[in-house]
Amino acid sequence: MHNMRRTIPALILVAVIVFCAITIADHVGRFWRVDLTDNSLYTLSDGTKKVVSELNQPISLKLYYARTAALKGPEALRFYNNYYLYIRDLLQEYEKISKGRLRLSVIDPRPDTDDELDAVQYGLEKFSTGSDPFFFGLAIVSEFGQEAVIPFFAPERQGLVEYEISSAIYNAATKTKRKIGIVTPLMVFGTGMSPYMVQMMRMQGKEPQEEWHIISQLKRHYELWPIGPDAKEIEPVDLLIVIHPKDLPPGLLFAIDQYVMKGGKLIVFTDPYCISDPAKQYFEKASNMNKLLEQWGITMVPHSFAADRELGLVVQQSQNAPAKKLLTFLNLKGDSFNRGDVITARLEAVRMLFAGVLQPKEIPGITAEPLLMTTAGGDEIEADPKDMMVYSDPDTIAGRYKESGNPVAVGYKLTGKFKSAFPDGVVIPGKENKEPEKLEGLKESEKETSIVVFSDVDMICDFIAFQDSFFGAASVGDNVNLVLNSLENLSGSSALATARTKEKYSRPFNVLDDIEAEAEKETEKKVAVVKKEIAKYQSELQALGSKVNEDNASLLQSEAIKKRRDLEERLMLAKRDLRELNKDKRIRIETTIATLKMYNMVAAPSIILVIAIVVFFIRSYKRKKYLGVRNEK
Amino acid sequence: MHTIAAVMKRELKAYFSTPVAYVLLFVFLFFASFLTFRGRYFEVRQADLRIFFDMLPMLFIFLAPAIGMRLWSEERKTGTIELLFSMPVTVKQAVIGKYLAAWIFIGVALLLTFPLVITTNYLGNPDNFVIFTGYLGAFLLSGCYLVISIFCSSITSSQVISFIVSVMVCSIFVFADYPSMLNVLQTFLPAAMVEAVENMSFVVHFESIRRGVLEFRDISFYLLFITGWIAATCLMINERREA
Repeated sequence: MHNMRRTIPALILVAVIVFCAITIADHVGRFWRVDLTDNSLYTLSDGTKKVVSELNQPISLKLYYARTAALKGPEALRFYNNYYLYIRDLLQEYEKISKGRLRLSVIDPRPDTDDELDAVQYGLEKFSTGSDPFFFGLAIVSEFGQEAVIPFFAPERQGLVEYEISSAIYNAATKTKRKIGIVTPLMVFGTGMSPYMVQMMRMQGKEPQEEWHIISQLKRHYELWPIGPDAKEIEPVDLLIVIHPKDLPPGLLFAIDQYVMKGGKLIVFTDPYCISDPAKQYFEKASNMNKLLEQWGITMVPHSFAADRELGLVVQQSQNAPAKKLLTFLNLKGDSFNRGDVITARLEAVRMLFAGVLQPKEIPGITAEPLLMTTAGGDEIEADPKDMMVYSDPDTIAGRYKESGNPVAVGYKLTGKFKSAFPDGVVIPGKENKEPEKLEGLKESEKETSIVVFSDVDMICDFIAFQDSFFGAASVGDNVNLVLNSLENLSGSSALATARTKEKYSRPFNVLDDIEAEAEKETEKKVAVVKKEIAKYQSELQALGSKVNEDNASLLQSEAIKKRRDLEERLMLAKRDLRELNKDKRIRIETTIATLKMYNMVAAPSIILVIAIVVFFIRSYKRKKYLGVRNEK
Repeated sequence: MHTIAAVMKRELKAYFSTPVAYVLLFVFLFFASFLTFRGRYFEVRQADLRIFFDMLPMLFIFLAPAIGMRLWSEERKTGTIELLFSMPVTVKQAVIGKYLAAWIFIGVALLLTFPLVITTNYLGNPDNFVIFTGYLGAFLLSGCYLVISIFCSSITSSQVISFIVSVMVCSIFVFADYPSMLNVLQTFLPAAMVEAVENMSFVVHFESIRRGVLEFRDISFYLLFITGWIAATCLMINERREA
């Protein structure tokens, strides 16, 4: 007992020393680290370092995280707690490299406090997760009062988080947001109604048009200027985006042309089949800006889609329909990206739906480099406007698909001094009995500029580029990154274009993917053979039909019936073969998985048991031998 | 050093002379694979061992106490503790030697999960550096569980009590960063203390090592934690010897 009286204080002393040592080591050594991941996923990029090193004024970083609310909330919020620690550490890394120009403060906005009011005033998103409101955002305030805000850190956007922070710091430091002009016939800005009106419309069974998520994303970083169809001149903007240039009036086309002639930067999203277009007929959903683009060195082939078996995604058109691979629904990856250009250098997955085919045209002084392309096995699927099946049926597309041996480009970047598509100016017909108006302008670019063209519009729409999550829309793949990279690269701050794509990597199970790809190839081959046979039978039936006359009608009829039966039988057999192929694919994958499971769960532990048994026998043999020797003695 | 090695050798031999070690290894390897596959390893189709490393902190809660419970309890129950200290061995040497033997045993258990690494490399193209740091983190993590178990083993001569107490104490350190736990603590502790307690969580420090980032604060946490508990165990053994 006497000893225990001595030991307990000693134990408490040890606990206190260890606790203090750990806390001190945590604070002192938080910046000593080695990032051993491929491509240093957890190290701040050079772009961020450049942005931070160029700061010329002190900037406050106010990280709002409702820690108390998170602790009181459901266990699921632990996920946010961990992400908060990651964000806090990342911001501390910013603080460390800024040499005192960035000052971080972490705030827990409790209800009914000034902190909560500030968070709301900065525009941070507020969620109710129980009794306390939940905040998790960042307010960046410069010494001159310029503010930039990240309203909410969604863990799904971790890949973009460094870019978002760097961009917000850049925006707060550069005083003004850059202006982006938007030309589009689509309702990308939504109907602009109040939440009340939206609710009212929904109650009446009408679905109000909401702002596209990509627009909301861009608004965080840029000032967006919608440009109407009657514009004859583009106001001075830092960059112009044209989305779905369908039936643009000549005045507006001329304005875009002249904007480029004055050295303006341009991004174009054009599409041979834009599913987001509200037009009723499928053949009315196309757009192109070939009048201008042809002159500048690129053409989008009308009525043609880029397809690729390797990149195609599986879709299910209705609830009960079987899932099929749609070869025109591309999931670009790996070598589909031009790794030499900062826009696409670090992308990993971009999805495009019914993208058009871009063909370069050699023009002296213009450099055209592809940014996005299919694999070498890609193909151009010609789609006659009257041929509805190509627009809706995955099997029809697969049937027409042939590996071309050359990649098909779906994104291009043009650089140089461009020539005007309106060298003689343009005549704009007068409205309401007014005289036609003739506009003239520059015939060649005043300075070198850049244009980026993508042959798909749906790639930036909500249903392709985003998915719903618990806290709102989360981006899917790198579609948003592609747009942001293009904007940053063209609008000047190329440093920011390298400040993104963190902790995003995809390391798929190639073995299982290969089994699936092989099986799909076999299936398609089989389908092609069956289709050929059907066509042959049908032509034979037609030939029989043409031979029919009064004398041989009954004879030929029975022959036709026999042929039809043959065909049905053949079709049944083919369907069975296809089922077998699918079954075979499934069995191969399941067998591989089962073998690996068995190997890991049973085989490896069993080796231990075998060793144990062997050791046991050796021991008992030795013991017997020892006892034997003793008995002999 | 030589004495520590001798104690360590003796303990390692003792482990493998009974079927318990083999059963423990068998159970650990089986559950390590089973829980990884149950965690949708094949459905997620990502060539990494994230799921395996995610469930290790839970698995260690039971494995480490099972390995560490007998180290001192058994010596005290059978009275061999007196025999041990009649030899030229100090308490510190004995504690460190026994601890290292148990730690090496867990290390062997971890190494025997190599089929998972082979499977992942067969199926895809993983970042093997990240897998390596994951294993390094898992080894350090297991050291913390073990040192707690050895301390608990030193306070009682009953292996069952030692096991139960170890499981409870280890759980506290695993769940130290859980919101419900922090919520209780913040009702009577200041914010800085709550953060310090959160910083004591094994899982928080395992997180970045598991991702492939070696941080000084994580490594120092594990080493300081282990040193502190070994010192505490030495104090307890000294106290028991003198009692």
